[in-house]
Amino acid sequence: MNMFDFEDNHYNGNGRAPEWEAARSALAQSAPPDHVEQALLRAFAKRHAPRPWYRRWDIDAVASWAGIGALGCVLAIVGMSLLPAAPPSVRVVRVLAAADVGFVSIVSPERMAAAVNPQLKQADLPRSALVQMGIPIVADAPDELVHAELMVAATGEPLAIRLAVN
Amino acid sequence: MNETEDIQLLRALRLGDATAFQSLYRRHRSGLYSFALLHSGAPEVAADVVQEVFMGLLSDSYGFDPLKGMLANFLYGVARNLVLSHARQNSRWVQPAGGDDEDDGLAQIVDTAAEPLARLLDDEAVEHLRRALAGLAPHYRDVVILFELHEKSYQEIAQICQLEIGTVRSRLSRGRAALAQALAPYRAHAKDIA
Repeated sequence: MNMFDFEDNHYNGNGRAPEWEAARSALAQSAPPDHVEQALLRAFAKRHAPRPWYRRWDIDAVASWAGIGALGCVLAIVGMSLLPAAPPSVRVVRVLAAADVGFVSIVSPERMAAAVNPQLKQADLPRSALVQMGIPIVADAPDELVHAELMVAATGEPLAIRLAVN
Repeated sequence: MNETEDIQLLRALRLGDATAFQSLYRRHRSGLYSFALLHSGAPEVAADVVQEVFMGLLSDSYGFDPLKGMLANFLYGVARNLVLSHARQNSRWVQPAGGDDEDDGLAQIVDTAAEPLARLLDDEAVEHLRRALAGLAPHYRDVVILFELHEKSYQEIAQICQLEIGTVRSRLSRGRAALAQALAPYRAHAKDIA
């Protein structure tokens, strides 16, 4: 039987004309020239080339990170406000304890309790001396004299000090 | 063609994977090229069409949606539009004014720029087929090629060519009849020789 002699419009048993079978086998391995693939890969590489860091940030990314940063700050502030306050230093406790009478102890409580007949003395002391005694006073002018009242033991030992209020 | 693999490759190439792009190209280049080649009759046009199809894919300018159909059929649709657009620009043929049902399926101006394809397809039967296809109106030609060469179903051809299935059926019937008519002298000659 001739390959072109078909009863129904020259179509074979698969319903395909023999010319199509020939075309299919002829074109089975057909492909565009290699330069097409090369051009496409160049275009792809150009399109997906890594951008410098300053061009990677678009407005949405900046807005997102700014929002995240602001939220972090708020959470940090809230968290810090919820933390229990740190205990005051010894120096502060000493000042606060004496706040009612205005005296700051400069000896231990045991020695203070053991002191007999303490007396009150007036004195002008340089700021540097007061700082050495642990008195919370600004020492920007170390030689400036500050008027103070001293509680002194019978032995002459200073027990506590109170700065005069102007 | 595995559609799932196509979609995975498409996702990867959108993320910048050049290997995925190359794989996708190699999966589809032959089918698209042979379609464009047989449709246009010119290898250089077919190569341009394939390049343009994939250029659009890598730039994502076509907006392909996997939910709306297979990637392969989508690419054939793009290739078809490009081939038709190229043919219009080069005025190789004139679209029949009467639409599907008012012509005999033969183009009024026949493609005359297919000599390179004739050299490429060194086969007498294929050469006669090419000549017969060149005489076919383009809107019949693409349906016939997709059905006969690429073995696409009516449904797929309708999707590729953006036609109703009934129109596909009608065009295919008329296109095949016109093609058989154009191939008749060659077939008679071949029968005599045999």
